[in-house]
Amino acid sequence: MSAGSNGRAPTAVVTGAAGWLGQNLVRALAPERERVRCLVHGADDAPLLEVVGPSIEVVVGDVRDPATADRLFDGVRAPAVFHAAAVIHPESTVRELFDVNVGGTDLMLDRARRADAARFVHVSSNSPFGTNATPTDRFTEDSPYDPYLEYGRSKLEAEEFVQRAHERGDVETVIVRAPWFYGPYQPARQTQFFAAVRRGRFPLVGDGSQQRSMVFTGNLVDGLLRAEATAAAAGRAYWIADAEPYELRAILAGVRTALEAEGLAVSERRLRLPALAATVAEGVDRVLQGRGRYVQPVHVLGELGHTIACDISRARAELGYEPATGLVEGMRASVRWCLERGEQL
Amino acid sequence: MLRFEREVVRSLVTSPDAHVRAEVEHYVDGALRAMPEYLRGGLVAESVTLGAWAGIRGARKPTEPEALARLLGAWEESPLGVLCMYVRLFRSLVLFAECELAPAPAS
Amino acid sequence: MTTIDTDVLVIGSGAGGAVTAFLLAQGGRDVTVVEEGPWIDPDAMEPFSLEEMVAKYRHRPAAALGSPTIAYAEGRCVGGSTEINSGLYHRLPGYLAEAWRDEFDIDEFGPDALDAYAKRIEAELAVSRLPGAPPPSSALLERGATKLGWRAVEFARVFRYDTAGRGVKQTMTRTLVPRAVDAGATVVPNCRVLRVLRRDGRAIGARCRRTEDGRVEDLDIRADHVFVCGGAIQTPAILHRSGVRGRVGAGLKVHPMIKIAARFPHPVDHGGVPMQVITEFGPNLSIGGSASRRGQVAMALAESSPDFEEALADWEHVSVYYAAIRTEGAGRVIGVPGLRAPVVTYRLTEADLSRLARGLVHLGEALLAAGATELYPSVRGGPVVRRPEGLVDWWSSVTRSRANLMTVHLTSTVRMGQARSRTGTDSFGRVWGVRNLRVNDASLLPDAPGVNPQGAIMALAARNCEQFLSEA
Repeated sequence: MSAGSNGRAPTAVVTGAAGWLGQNLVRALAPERERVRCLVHGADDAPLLEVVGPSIEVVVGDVRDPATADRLFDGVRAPAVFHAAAVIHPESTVRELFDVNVGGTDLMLDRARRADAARFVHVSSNSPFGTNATPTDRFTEDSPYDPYLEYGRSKLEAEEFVQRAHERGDVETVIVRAPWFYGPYQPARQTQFFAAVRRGRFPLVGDGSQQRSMVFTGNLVDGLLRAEATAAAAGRAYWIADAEPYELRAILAGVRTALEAEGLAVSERRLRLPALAATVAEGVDRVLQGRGRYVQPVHVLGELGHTIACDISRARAELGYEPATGLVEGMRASVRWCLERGEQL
Repeated sequence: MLRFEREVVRSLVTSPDAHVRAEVEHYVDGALRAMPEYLRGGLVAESVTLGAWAGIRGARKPTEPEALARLLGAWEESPLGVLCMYVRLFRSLVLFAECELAPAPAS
Repeated sequence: MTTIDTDVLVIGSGAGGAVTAFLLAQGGRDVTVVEEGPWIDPDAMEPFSLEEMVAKYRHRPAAALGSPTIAYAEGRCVGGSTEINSGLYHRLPGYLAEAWRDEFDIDEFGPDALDAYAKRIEAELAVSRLPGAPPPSSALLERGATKLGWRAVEFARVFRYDTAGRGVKQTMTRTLVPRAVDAGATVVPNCRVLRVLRRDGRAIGARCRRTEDGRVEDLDIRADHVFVCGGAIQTPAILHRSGVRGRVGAGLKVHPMIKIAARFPHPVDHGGVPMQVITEFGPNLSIGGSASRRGQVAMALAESSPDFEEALADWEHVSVYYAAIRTEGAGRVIGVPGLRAPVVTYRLTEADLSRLARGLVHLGEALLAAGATELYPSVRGGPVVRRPEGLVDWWSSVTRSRANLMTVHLTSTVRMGQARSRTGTDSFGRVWGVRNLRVNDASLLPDAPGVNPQGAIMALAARNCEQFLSEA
């Protein structure tokens, strides 16, 4: 597919380029585009992207910073913007969630408008929609907002900014809502998750029948590129995920299968926690976040009791999206990536 | 107005004109009287405490006005919000009043 | 003890009270207005001057307790806060009327419900835009916005222009108060309501204390109907000390403002308040200009840096601007027995602080684009910013301990609507649980509107008056 055909802009701007999604996305864009302008937060991240190819141009800076935004879009005309920069797990206070997820989105939309962006593809989340009422309930694009705590509120407000920018005619936008990722370039917390499952230390909460949608990074990248290229997607939102949600117990079993298939011994131990543990953790999380504080393990445990599952019918119908990779295959790719980098699992 | 509060105001006023100084003091006095009781009560408690502390530090000797000025300057830079806001409140009232009551210097 | 008998007692003569007095007097009722403050000639003092603050402000200033505290001002005089505000005018946005109708179950309400009343108010107050070019302090906002491609509009104001193009703010003392008197209303200034009197579940008047020429006199006003129009702070305080609690006093909403004193290479004007407003980030974030007399410039400069004398000497080149937000958080007004002033608190969420920081950064961008050379933010310790590269530091400067915030708009402490668990009055301002007692001021608005609220308050008050006249 040559650059410029099928609605794909010759220049792409990617925020959060050094992140989990970003690294996968940039590697898909680099061979096909004349220029891929990448925003990374730290100077240490720049080499990670520069190695990808000659079309890569790295800008180091803060996504909330007007001067950085000016440099990011300097000399760029009619780009496709992929806005993936966000904070999911802040260091200790929830303030960062709003500064980056809302403030950063606001700034990127403004500069995209000024650069006459061809399209702004916004990476969103399940969090603005909360949790499903029952294990068989699925989020669709028409589901009402019901934000899960402060991250949910921040991503909700970001979506509202994106939609308003489109409605006002500032810039053409598409929102892509992605659930829990898995895939190469995973951060430390995902590696710790694999390690904990391997040692039998990751808890199965309740009976594990709660459903979780996940998305392999390769599938998500494919969805994002289709969101960019499909004319009729303008102004709309799409859930992009693996074909079906998985039961939590199936996710843990899938990780174990992948680890073994890649030659790693897996513990027989199984840690179980009653559903009540997650309920209590969620209550504590609510109180902490109400006071502006964020404690990651408490948040993660609180979420584990819930069903968070979406329906990808609209993406299939309108974008021609088909998830190519399934759970075990994707987990194996992740494990291989870790082992290639010498990560301790 | 408490005695210490008056000393603070006199320390912060920059104008040498006696009439302006008196007017500024009168304005701040009125502003403090007009404060809601719960805020005035808190401020009184601070003034009593800080006044005593300033006295212990030797910053309230009428013969050494610079001592109080230095102490107030230090409080204004303090990371302790209570100290900084105390001085800032009086600074704000005095600044505003001086600007309004003293003619602007010819530029 | 003196007793006054009247049909309708109106407590307070601000935006809500003056409309109420005027329309009910015109409607043939015998109206008595009591106003806690004095009746001051609107031409007697310069706007935003020291004299005006001493004479017309209730507190200099007051502050809502919280982290951070938020300073606020209320007018305490005939005409209320309309005598001390900027005079910017905006109708209640239709989308808000719709949202409030749905959320609070307000009868006969919606996007068009207040239009006819707003038109009438606009005629009475000569609401208009500037006949000529905006002054530099205002034009600079437009210039910055245009350079950045941001939407900005000139707000209308309650100003009447003479043939020479000079504008005079149409405050309540210039307009509806004298017109109410012409229609037969009596205005009693320097008269504070101690409490509303009730018997058998209905309001029968008020016990007041009048101060005239140093003499203090208690008086009773007997009325068939009582309208409480003291504003979002005094109205719940009056109701509390009259034994009316319920959903009264909670839910205070304000528009916290964070400011920048901006220094320009050329002189700017200092007599009025800019009428340009950057609406690009509305409705939750708006950017405009503030009063910038030398006193206000001095206070603004002092807040960010101890080394402000040099900029203050150059004060004629400095103008003060703000970013104002609608908040997720809310506050409370609590009447405390024995205390003259109620306790006021306000809670800002982390999302609110982030929005304020974002507002400050955007305001900084606009002012630099307009040609400002130095920006002094109302944040303890600044930093002072001279180039766009410096703006990013403000994200971490705006914290609970360092931000200096104020508000001039106060609303929502006695909300209206049929959703009784969340409102203090019904859809037309009738206080739940007490007959013949109404509220008709900013307290009724279910939320802060994101624009100057005077227009919304007055149109709403007019609508409620028409309902009253049709039933009684």
